[in-house]
Amino acid sequence: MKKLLLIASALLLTTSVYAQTATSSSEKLENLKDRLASAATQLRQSQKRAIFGTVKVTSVSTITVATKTSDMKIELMDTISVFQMIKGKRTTLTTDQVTKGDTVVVFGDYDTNLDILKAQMIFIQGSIPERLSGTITETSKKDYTITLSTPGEQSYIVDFETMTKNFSFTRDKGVKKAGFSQLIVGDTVHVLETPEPKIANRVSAIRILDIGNLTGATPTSTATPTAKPTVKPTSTPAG
Amino acid sequence: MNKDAILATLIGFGIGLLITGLLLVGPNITKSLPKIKLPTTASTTTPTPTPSQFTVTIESPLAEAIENSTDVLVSGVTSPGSTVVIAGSVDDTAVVAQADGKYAGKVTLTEGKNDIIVTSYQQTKQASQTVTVYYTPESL
Repeated sequence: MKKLLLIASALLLTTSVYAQTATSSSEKLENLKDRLASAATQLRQSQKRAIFGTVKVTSVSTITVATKTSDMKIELMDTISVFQMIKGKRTTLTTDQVTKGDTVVVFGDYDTNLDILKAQMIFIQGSIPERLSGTITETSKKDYTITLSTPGEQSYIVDFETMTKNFSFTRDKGVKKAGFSQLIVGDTVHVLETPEPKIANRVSAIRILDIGNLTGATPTSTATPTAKPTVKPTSTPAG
Repeated sequence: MNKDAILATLIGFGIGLLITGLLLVGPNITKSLPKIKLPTTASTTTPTPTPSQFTVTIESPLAEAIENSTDVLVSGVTSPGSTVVIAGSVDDTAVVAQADGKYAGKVTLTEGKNDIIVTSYQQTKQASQTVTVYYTPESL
């Protein structure tokens, strides 16, 4: 009987102690949860963010930037700084010099509650060079051009300029400097380029990375469309 | 104390004793019980391996990240042995994916918006993914 009573009392004691411990640890957990939620809310309310777009509307204290998805209102803070690369030099500007149509990147604190970006820095972005990749179908040592066929079956003529930097990649040697003569038909190349104004499908190369012939196949050169004189049918006199 | 109260106490005490007994002796009883084997359903269908698609993923940097250094390490996963081209706004690099498919390479960022294009090649197969990051030397 004594033993039984001892076991019963031990059980009772253990249960109560466990309940007490569980209560205190759950309280701690709840407290921690609350603190975490509060910190997360604060972070969500104000977070560092950058947006890219075109200036749509400007005013003294705000600007509206049209991004790829939506228009965003930007609050211009007192401590804001504006920069632009002019002739290769990073130049400091004022907010008055940010005009409609400028392509900008705005850095600042984004307020989710007000859906507003409090701008700390505006960078007026110049034209960004484009990227082109494909297989070389033709090279011209006379004109210093290569013809590229993209995965989308489009053909581009790439001008190899005097300032063009050319690199080749091999599995054993890595990336090394290379010359125009090392660009061979069948090689896959990645080109950093600027499009030639007025001439469709013609670009000027800034940098070329040749990663070699990956398939082992040599593509046949695709004929580039040339303007042919049209022959008008002449009416032959009957008789 | 009336009879009902005494009876209820006794019943409660009895149940308590039973539970205690089960807790103390229970584990030993289960050991001595004969093991019951459940009938196993033999699956006749053999799983057919689905051909894995040739892909490339960018794990770092995160999309829309603000970087404060001109050099950024681009890493991710693709098929083992693939040639991976990491193209940045200023320069580009090429690496070979490791045996576990992981690749990594550095590119230089320019101030403002930077689109980093990662293209993976394996013979005739090609996969590409882009991540946009922003760089400013200013402390925000």
